[in-house]
Amino acid sequence: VNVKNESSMLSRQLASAQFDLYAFISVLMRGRSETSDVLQDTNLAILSHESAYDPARPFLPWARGVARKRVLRYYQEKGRERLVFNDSLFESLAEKVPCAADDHSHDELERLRKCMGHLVSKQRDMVTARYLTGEAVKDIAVREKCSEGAVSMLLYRVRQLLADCMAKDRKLAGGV
Amino acid sequence: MNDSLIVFDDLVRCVIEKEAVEEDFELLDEMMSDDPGLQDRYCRQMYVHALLTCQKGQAWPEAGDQRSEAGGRKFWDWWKVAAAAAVLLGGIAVWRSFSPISDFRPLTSDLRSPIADLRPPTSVSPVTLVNQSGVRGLDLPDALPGTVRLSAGEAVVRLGSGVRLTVLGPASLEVNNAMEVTLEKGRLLADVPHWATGFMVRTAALEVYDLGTVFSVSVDWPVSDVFVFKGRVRVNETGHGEIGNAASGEVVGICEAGEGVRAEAGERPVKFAADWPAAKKAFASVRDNAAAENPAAAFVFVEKIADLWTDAYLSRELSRVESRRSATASAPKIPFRKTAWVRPAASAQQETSDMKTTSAAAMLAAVTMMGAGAAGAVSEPMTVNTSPVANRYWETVYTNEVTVSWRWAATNAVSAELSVSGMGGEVLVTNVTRAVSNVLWRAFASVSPEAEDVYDLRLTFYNGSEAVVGVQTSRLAVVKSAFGKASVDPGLNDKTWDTVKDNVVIPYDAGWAAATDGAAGGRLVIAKSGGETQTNTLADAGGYFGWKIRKSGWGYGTFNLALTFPGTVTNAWDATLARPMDGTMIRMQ
Repeated sequence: VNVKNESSMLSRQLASAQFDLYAFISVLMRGRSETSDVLQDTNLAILSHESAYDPARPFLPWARGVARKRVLRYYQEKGRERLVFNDSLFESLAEKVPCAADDHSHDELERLRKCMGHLVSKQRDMVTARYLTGEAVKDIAVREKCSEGAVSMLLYRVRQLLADCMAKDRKLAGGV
Repeated sequence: MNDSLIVFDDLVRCVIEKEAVEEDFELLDEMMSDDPGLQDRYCRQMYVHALLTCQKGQAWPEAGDQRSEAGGRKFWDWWKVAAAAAVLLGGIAVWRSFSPISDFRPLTSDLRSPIADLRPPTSVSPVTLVNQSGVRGLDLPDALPGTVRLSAGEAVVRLGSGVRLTVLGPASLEVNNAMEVTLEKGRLLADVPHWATGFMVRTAALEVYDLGTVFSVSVDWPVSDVFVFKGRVRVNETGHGEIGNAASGEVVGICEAGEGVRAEAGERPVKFAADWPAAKKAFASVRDNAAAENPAAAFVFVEKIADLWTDAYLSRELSRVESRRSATASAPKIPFRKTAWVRPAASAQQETSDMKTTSAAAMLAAVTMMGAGAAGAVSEPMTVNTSPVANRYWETVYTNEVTVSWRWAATNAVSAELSVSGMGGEVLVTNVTRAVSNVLWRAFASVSPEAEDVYDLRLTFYNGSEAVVGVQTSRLAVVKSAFGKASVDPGLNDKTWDTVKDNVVIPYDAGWAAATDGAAGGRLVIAKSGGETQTNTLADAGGYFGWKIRKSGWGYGTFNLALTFPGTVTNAWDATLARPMDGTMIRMQ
């Protein structure tokens, strides 16, 4: 298969940005299950309009721009404007989603991994159960003999710890 | 922590746990609207939640574990491969170039997950058995690449990439790596999580690239079927690499939920869809994840839909066309000989290009299109003249770079604008001053064109007051057959059909028959069976007509074309074009 150098470069960049785009879209879609669908649309849009990308500029901000439009388009097509943020809030949030510096998007997963190592065992177990083995909150609550609300809030705090930890590390690396 | 922050955190928590209702969203928006701090807090919380969701299927490193770094490296290698595999269009060459597949990490067995508990205690297979029903003769590979064999029953396995495959026996499945399998025989249903986008299933006839979905593939020689239950896939014909390795072939298309492709050995793949009322109703029972819950029923559905579609639609269309051919053959003889619309010319001579002007002021000027030397002309020459006797109207060049040259006939013209428009719209606009008398235009990027097209060139001259003082026009047709082999249907008794894609370029020439040789212009009537009719007046007696069929509102169906040359005999050259599916295949006689 012959792939032009430019296409290969774009394809590589897009491939390595998958989880960043997923996270970005997920934030703007409030974690809705349709996030994956919009990510697919974004991928297709990027690859079918590759001529619009200037290789001299950073890839991630451009790709996120495409993703942002796709999220808006999704809501417009579905007629779900009421379930998305108002215009100014939407734009403001799009600017605030954490982003690695210099297109090093995989650094974010490295950061997450490192920060997971700083959690205490109970916190790690909880995250593992919720995200790795896919246990429902109510099942975890039964096993841990506590309320669903308690498990849910513990997970919230763990995510907050991870977010703070990652933010510090990201700042050191020059990201936002 | 103040009360409002407690409320805010609880609202975000509810959003993540999908417990939030309309009022919660409204309150959340209201709180964040003028508070950048809360916006940050929301983004960071949701962002970590999303990354953790992506992490699903992979092991965490142990705290302080010396294996941590190595494990982490493997993890990142997996991500590189998985992410690279997400290349959707034409990117297969990219992700193959990454780390060896041996770096893939199987789902860990120390998580005590329900999945892990189902694995045989001694299993070290990179293909994890998740579930089984009525299984006989199940064989899982110890290493990759390896083969999954199943004599009978239903086995659910999971690959290191998190892809879940339901295999129905008898089946033989070669697992090349965690992102690529080859189905040699049998049926499989693939449930691909979004992080494994780019997962590929190959058969002898087709390659299926997942775009985040649930789809089925079955192989029962000589037929391969693909069908999408959720999301979408990209389907290619299977190609062959230089040293025997399989490689991507021609693109069949993207299939959405409810669509599929059937490929039969020696035939072009046909796209089909559950697009009639009864099929749509039946599809509702297996769409999305319902297919994974009852794979056997899903496969019965697919087979039925594919058979019905093939029998009821395609056969009907082709038989209708065949009837017309027979009727035409038995019709009374006409005073001129009907021949193919596209055929090699007896003469390879090149003559002047088609040129015309639309203003008297520019009458003496000439717009010529000439080859640009050897710059792009590397293909085997093949004439694409419209006349079998003499190519009187069009110059033929074998290059992707065309020099458009002109003379400044209007003495008061000081500048000009050159615009070029193809079937897809305007492709070039450039302004020149009087010092310039030619422009090098690259009509297509590669040495060989990917699609045929007909371009209208228009040169508008302006005086010092920006008023138009002259216009010249010319045309250029890009014909793929000029750059390689062409499939031609030479006569009524020939059963070969030429298959074209995208837009259609139709050559015409009054000089095909003596009875029409003196025509000044032509007329092409396109009539859709049961639909509208379009009459196209051709200003020339010979040339190329560009018919934009995709995304032009024509839709599916059978189209009858009739070419006449007014002022000569009333008989017409005719042709039939069947468009069975959405742009996937156009068959033209």
